[in-house]
Amino acid sequence: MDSKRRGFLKSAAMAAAGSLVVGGKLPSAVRADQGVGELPVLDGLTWNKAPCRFCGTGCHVQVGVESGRVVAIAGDKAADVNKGLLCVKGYHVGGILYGKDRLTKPLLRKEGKLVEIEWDEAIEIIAKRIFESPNTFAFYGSGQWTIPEGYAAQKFMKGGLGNNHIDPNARLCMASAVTGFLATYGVDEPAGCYQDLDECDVLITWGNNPAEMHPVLFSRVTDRRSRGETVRIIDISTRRTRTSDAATDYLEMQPHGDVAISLGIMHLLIQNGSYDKSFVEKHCNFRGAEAETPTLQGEAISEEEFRNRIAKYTPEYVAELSGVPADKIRMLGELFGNRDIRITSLWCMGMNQHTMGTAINSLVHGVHLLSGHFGRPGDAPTSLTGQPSACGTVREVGTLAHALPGGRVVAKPEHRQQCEEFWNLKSGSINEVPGYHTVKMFEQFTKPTAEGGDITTLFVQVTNPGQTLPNLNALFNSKQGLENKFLIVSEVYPTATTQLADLILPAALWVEKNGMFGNSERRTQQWFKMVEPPGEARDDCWMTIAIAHKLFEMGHEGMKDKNGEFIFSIKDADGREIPIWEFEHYYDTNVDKHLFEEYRLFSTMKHKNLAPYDEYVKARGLRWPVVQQEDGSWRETRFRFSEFDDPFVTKGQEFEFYHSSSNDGRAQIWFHEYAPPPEVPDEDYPMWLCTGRVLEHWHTGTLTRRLSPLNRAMPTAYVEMNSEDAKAANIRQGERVIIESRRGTCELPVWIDGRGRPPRGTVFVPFFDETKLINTCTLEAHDPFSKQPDYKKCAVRVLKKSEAKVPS
Amino acid sequence: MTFSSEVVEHAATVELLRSIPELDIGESSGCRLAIVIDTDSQRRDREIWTAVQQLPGVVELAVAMVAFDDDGQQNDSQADC
Ligand code: SF4
Repeated sequence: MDSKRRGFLKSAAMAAAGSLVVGGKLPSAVRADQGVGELPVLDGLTWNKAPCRFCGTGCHVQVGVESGRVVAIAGDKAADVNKGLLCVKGYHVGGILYGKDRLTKPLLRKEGKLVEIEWDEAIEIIAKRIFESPNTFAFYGSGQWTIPEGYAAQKFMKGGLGNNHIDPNARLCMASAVTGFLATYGVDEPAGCYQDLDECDVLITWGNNPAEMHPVLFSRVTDRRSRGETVRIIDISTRRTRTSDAATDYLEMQPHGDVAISLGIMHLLIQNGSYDKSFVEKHCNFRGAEAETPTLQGEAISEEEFRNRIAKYTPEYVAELSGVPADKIRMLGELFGNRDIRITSLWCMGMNQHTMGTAINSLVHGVHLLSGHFGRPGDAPTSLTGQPSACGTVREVGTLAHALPGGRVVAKPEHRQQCEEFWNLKSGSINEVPGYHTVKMFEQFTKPTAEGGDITTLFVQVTNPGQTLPNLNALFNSKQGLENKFLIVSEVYPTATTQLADLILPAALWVEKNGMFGNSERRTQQWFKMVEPPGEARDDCWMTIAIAHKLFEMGHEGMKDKNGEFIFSIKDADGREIPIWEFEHYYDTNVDKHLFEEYRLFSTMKHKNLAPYDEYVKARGLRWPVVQQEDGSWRETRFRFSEFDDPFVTKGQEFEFYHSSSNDGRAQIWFHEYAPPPEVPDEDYPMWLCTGRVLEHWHTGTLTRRLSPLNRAMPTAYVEMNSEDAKAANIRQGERVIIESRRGTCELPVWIDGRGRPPRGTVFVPFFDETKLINTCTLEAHDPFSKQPDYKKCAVRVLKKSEAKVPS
Repeated sequence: MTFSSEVVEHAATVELLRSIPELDIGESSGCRLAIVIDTDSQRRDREIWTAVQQLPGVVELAVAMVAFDDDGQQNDSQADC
């Protein structure tokens, strides 16, 4: 770096740091040309906005590009989400583009070896396999898909192929949050927003570690404390984490204890008469699961019946089930019974990766509804997402096996018809049978065809199931040796998934392409391509369109609309088709904009209204519903269902749940009976295993392990052990041990009382390390409604290496 | 940098910061102080970061901007394992 440029960047860094030191509050929506004043102006250096590529917090960064290369990253001061701050991952995000082992050429496995092929051949191979057997093809996507990528995949599969076997990795991370919202409000996604963190008096983290997983969000709360405000943080968890360190109260629960605790709070609210009678009478119904064949709809129960069912969940009984002392349950009951304070609940994987995921999500919503801690800034039950667009791409575009865009589902004839009309498809194009959810999809792919495994070609984009699926030996590794099973993987780097791939497609990453994400607070974000991808890496969205067009050329009827035109046809101003399926023409137009403008028509169906694409170009994201005002401007919504902010609430109602599943504008307060986890420690496997993430690495580490500072800070996965357990087993700090479950083994170094401190009988292992695949041990048991597996609890034993059997 | 109390109450720590040659001190306000670290290697970056984090009275470090040079080209997931 020359010294002039270095000097410039240094003074820019000082300006950026200085502005954080003296910075004040920013307006809620800002224009792209605001807030970048302090960034250095240098010949050849340009700055542009993008959301961070990593977590669902959705921080905005300013990306500095010089000579076609990302050279600097700054926190975006104009962004309401992060106000200029980034976490350790965010400020290194630019480096993810420059790992030296980037995939740059399509690779086909021939006689066991990967050989380079041309893109034309790769697209033809895929199209042929689909053409010959469209119903045995499945598409596995991601909450890291951009919104247009997910939308194109969705249209290609459900509209074009009439095949619903499309599901995302988000099934593994937030499906239970979706079913919880649907069961409670009749519509998905949080009512509140991050402003709740600025205004709550009490923050309850339910099996959630935002200090490491959503650090910038958590800093909004710790910052308030450093300014002298009092915020009580109550951490309910199965192990001590960095969030516990910052907490006022740490309540250590047993696995599934959250279910009992939420029932216990509701019991106390009812018993003490401290629930919000007026709110409940006006805005809520009570609901229980049907005795036979429970559904998300449930059945209405009276308040009396609810009282009867909840009566047994006394603080003492809850203490027995959860391990949290009765007086702490009473403390929670009292807090929720106090309407003078504001309480925000936060959760993420702890409540979602849970075989009672739908139940615990609904119960925590129920605690807030029953107590009236809902709908005022600071009073909110809020789920966070782990991926940058789990909300935008999966939940809103509906890239799940049963869903269609705009909150529609394939099972309903009127929904299919609406969707076919939007897409200008022949009636009956969309299949009415939901496709395979993630676990089922991989079961069907890894099972021999002769035994009923009816998925033969699987296309994986923007995700790494070879590392993240539970029970990897059964659900992924067993693909090996199955001759007629063909795995296509679009990736940026070699991963555990590409190891078994038959065809690897090199993908463009983050600012190497146009994109849009939707973060955890309903905020839709947009960015432009800033640098070229390396070698022959190409956009995932282009891949889908190119395959679709190849099928169109081959005469596949589904790739034509009612007028016989290609389903992804884009015309120029003179009405001439732009050949976007040819990569050299893909950027002749803004394909993202075309797809988004088509997609956003769906968004009004569930009052998730989106603004035109160009509005997102100007803003650092906008929270839906975004509604046009009389003066032509577009206004975002921070608090849904609350009259003071949500334009869809009928005047005078104060609150209105306008997608209520009981069709009366009310939310549902559910009762669910506590049930123990499906696998509990026993004599043979005496320890609980919990898995999760660490601050330095994002998910499977594909990107963050290529960032030297992060990799150096956290170079290897480990097993966290309680010191008493380690002592009893004669295990020393750093010793390598074998973690063994009924499904597999994993060798790891031991970290005793390390960053996280599990109680006796529990071990914790992060899953970011592709050299230590802990998901060989985890369990594929899943929630009956969301189909989301439980990665947080299964039974294992810890063996010293000398005790472990040598694998035969 | 965020200190546990007003920056002026941490004169000794600020003196220690001044002794780090790669570190420049900028504006302060209340408990907060702006600093810039400019080093030739990511290793040195890390060392300074860790050292600063452990100085008396320091409760938090937040990053406002990062610029990097061509070191990134050498990133490789296996390099440090
Ligand atoms: S908190 Fe999440 S979105 Fe924000 S910088 Fe860190 S990883 Fe990126």
